[in-house]
Amino acid sequence: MATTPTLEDPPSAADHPQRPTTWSVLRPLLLRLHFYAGICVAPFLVVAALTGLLYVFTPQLEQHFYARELHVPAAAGQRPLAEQVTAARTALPDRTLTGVRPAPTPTDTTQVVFAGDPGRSDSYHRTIFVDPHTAAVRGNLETYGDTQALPLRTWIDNLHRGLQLGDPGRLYSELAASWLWVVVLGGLALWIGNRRRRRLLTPELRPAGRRRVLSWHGAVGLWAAIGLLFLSATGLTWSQYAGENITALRQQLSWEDPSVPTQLHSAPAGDIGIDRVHQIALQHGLTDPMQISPPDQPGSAYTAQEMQRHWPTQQDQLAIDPGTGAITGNVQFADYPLMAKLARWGIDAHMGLLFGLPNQLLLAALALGLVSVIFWGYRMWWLRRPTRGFGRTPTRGAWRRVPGKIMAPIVLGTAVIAYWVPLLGASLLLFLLVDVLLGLRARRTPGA
Amino acid sequence: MVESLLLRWILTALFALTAAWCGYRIAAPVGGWRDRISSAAHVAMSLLMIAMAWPWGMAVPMLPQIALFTIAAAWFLVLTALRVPCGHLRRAARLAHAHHAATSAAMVWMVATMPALMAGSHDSGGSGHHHALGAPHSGVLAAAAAPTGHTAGIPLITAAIAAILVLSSTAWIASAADTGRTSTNRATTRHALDSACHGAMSAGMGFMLFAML
Repeated sequence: MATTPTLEDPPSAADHPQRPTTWSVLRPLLLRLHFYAGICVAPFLVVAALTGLLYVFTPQLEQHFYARELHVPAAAGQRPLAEQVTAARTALPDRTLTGVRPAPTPTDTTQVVFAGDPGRSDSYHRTIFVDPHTAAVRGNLETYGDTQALPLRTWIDNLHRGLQLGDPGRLYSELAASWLWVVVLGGLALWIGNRRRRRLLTPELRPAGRRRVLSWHGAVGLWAAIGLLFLSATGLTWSQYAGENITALRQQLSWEDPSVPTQLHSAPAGDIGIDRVHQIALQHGLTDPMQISPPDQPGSAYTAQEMQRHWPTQQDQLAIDPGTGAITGNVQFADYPLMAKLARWGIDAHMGLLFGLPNQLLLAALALGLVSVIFWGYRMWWLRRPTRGFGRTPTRGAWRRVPGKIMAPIVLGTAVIAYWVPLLGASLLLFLLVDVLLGLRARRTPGA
Repeated sequence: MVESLLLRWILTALFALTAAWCGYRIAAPVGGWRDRISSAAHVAMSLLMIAMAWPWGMAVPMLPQIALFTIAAAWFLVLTALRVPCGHLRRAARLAHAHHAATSAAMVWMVATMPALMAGSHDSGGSGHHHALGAPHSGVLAAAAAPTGHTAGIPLITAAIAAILVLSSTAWIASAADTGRTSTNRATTRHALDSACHGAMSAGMGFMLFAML
C-alpha cells in the first residue's frame, strides 16, 4: 500500500541526515499558512470565480439582451451627429451632455451620453441610443464606466466586485484578491517542493484516494498559477484599500494614463459643431469607436478619444478648438509610459476584453480551474476525516523550527506587504491572534 | 510627519510598545545604572518617534531633541569604546551599542532634516502648515527648509539611512526569533523581547524615514 503523505509529516531523519535545510524548516510553516488561508479564504474565492465567470461572457449577453439599443438594420446614409444629439436631448431634456459615441458601423447605434441619475456616482451615465440613419431614439439605459457597461453587465460587475452590497461588499473581493497570490505562491512552492509526488505537470489517475486528489489539486493549480497571480494583481488595482495604495504609487511614479489638456489660451469664437469635430478626429488618424466630449467649461476644448479596448489597443486622444477646429492637444497611446500601457492591458485582459473570445475562454478556464482546485482542497481535508473539531490540521509551532536569519526577512517582508495590502495584513493579524488564543487554550487543556 | 493616517497609527502603536518595554527595563535593569540610562534613551527615542509621526509633533522644539540624541549617540559610542557589557544581549555587545549609537545619530538626522523632507514632499501640492508650526523654535529649521543646493542630497542620504536601519533590524529580529524559540526561562525570554524591541525600533525608524521621502 502506498504511503499517503500527511499534513503532519515532519521532515524525516532520512530526508535530512545532517542539518535541516531551509526548505525543510519552511515547509511546515508554509503548509500551515496554505491550509488555513485556503480554508478561510476559499469561499470568497469561489464566489469571485463564479461571478467572474458570469462576467466574462457579458459582452455576448449584452448583444443578446440589448440588441434593440445597440443595433439597427443597415441602411444607406447617416443623419448628422448634431441631429442625433438633438433627438437624444429631446428624450432627456434636463441632463448635461457628457459625450457622444458615433455609430462605428452602419448596424450600430450612436450612443449619446449624459450625466448620471441624481445620487449615483460619477461612473454612472444615462445613455440614449439613437438610430444613425433616422435619428430615432431606440433606447434609454443607465450605463457604467468607460466601457459603457449596460445594466445587466453593471449588475454582474457589482455582484463580482461587491455582492451588490456597495462599498462594504467590496471587502469580500479585496480579501479574495489579497490572499489569492499568497495561497497560489504557497501552493506552488509546496507542490514543486513535494518530493513524494510522482508527477509535476499532470495529475495521477489512480489509485483513488487522497494522493490522487492531491495530484489533481497540485497539477491543475500549477497550470493555473500564472493566470491566478495575474488576476490577483489586476484585481487588487480595483480594490478599495490596496487599490488606493496602488493608485498613489502610480501617481508618484507617473504611471497613470495621461489625459489630453483641454484648457485653451483664449476663449473660442463660435462652435464648429460635433460633426466637424468628428471629421477632424478621423482626418487626424483617430478611428471609431471613439467618444467625443463637448467642452466642459467655457474656454476649454472638445476631446475625441478612441475607445477600442481590444487588441491592438487604441486610446489616442485629441483636443480640438471649438472655434477653429485646430488640434490643441494630442496624446498617443504609443507614448503612454510602459507601466501605464501594462496597466491598461492588464485591466482589459482581466475584463476579458483584450483578446476577445480566446481571452474570455482563458478566463473561464481559470475560473473553473480555481473552483476545481478549491474543491479538491476541501476534498483532501474531508478525506482526513474532520469528524471532530476542525479536523486534522498542520502542526502548531512550525515557526519555532525556522532559523532567525530566515524568519527576520519573512517578518519584515510580511509587515511591508501587510501595510500595502491592508486587508491581507488585518486578516493575517486576526488569524495570528486567533491562532495564539487557540494555542493558549490547547496548552491549558490536557489532551487537547 | 507621516502623511498616511494608517501608518501613523501603526508606528504609534509600535513605538508605544517599545517605550513601554524600555520603561519596564528602566524599572528592572539587567546591567545596573548604565542599562537604566540606555533604556531611558530608548524611551525618549520611542516617544519622540511617536511625536514625529503626527502633525503636532512638528511643534516639538528641534534643538533640545538634537542635543538629546547627540548626547545619546555619544553615550552609546562610549559604551562601545569601553566594551561595556550590554544589558540586553549576551553576545556582540559592542555591535549592539554601536547600533544604538547609529540609531541615535539617525534620530539627529531625522529631526534636523524633517522640515526639508516635508518641504520636498509638499512641493507636489500639499499644505505646508507644519513648517509654520516648527518655525519659531529654531533657525536651523528655516535654513533646512529653504530649497537650497545643500538640501538636494537629503532624500538620498535619508533613503540610505532608512535602508540601513531596516536591514540592520533583521539582525535584532533574527536574534529575537533564535532566542525566543529556545527560551526556557524568564531571562532568555527577556533577552528575546529586548531584541524584538530594538528590531522593532530600528525597522520602525527606517519605515518612517522612507515614508517621509
